[in-house]
Amino acid sequence: MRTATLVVLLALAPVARAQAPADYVIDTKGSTVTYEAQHPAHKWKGVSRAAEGRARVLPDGKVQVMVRVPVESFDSDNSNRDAHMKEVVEAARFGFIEVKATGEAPLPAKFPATVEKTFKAQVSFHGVQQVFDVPVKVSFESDRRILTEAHFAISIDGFKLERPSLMLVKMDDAVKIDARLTFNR
Amino acid sequence: MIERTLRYAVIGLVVPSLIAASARAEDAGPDAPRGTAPTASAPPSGGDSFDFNFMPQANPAEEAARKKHAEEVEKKARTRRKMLLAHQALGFVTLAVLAATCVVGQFTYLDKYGGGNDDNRALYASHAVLAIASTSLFATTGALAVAAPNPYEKSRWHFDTALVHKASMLLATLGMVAQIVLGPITASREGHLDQRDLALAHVITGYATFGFMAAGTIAYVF
Repeated sequence: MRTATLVVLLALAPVARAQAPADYVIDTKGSTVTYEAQHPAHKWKGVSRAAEGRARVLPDGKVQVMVRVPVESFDSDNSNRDAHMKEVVEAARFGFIEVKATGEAPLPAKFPATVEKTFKAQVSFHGVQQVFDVPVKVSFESDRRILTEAHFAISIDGFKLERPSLMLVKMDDAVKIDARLTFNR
Repeated sequence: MIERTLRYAVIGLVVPSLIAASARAEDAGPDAPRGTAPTASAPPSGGDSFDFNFMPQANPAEEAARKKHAEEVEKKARTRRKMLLAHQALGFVTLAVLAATCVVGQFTYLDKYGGGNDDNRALYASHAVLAIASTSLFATTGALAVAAPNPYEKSRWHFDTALVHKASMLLATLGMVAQIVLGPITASREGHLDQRDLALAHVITGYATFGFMAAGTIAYVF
């Protein structure tokens, strides 16, 4: 009887391991989040290299991702503009832009592999939550390293932010977001 | 015998797999957010909801300190915004008045040394009024920027358009100071041979000052 139990346990061990979720952590140094904003007079980009977060690939291939970026970490190559941005987004009160995303991207049978999927992403910014469908390019370098690229646009008005103006002209409402995140297991 | 063999086989398979699992947990590395192991709120069999949290939550004491800090920052930020908006508006006005000062100054120079009759007193008076106005506006505009509180952590020094703006305005300030000295000295040298050279230096310094201020404005706007 004991022998039979052991045999069953032995047979089930690989199955149990295969069904465990795979957790990944953002490689902060290898990840960037960029916003691109526009005013009739000029266009600019702000880059953050301080994204942190985790992704979990569930046994059924579904993926949960949580990423947050400190608002103060964006650098647009103009310290005055960055300080103004912090005022506008009330960085002291709402210190992080937080994104939770879910989608399907099961680990492939062979590496490297690249898939393009659409994730549902909940963006929390300035105390407002909005849900977006975000196309994501997922590159599985190996079962221990995943590179992701996502591009989408948000509305400043949609997040209840007062659009800054220069020479009495307000900046554009749409801000493009470009996220390049690397996850390591 | 078979039973013992199976027992060893199980031990041989389970132990390495436990070690490997432990190694994976350690591989999370220094970038892993502290205490951020995915919580149990993430349902293992479904991923459609956003009801999961992989990040540490602030404790009440930290939250209270953060709120207090935020209130202080916001108070300073409101003052800063008002001052910088005034700085921006006055900056454009100053640039326009400085341009007018240069133009009228050029006409004044031409009236005296460029074949004119040197009899247009209105030009002299206009130039003096515009010079006083632009100097006062320039000083006020600069003072607003320098005195504006900055509640945010200073970013590390690096070359950016804000630095170009500040450097250009510093040079424009030096030009303004030079003009404050050169203008009255030039006017006081009436009847002397060196007045023409002083006047020319005054004109050139005026254009340079306008150039630096325009460059600083362009760097900031574009």
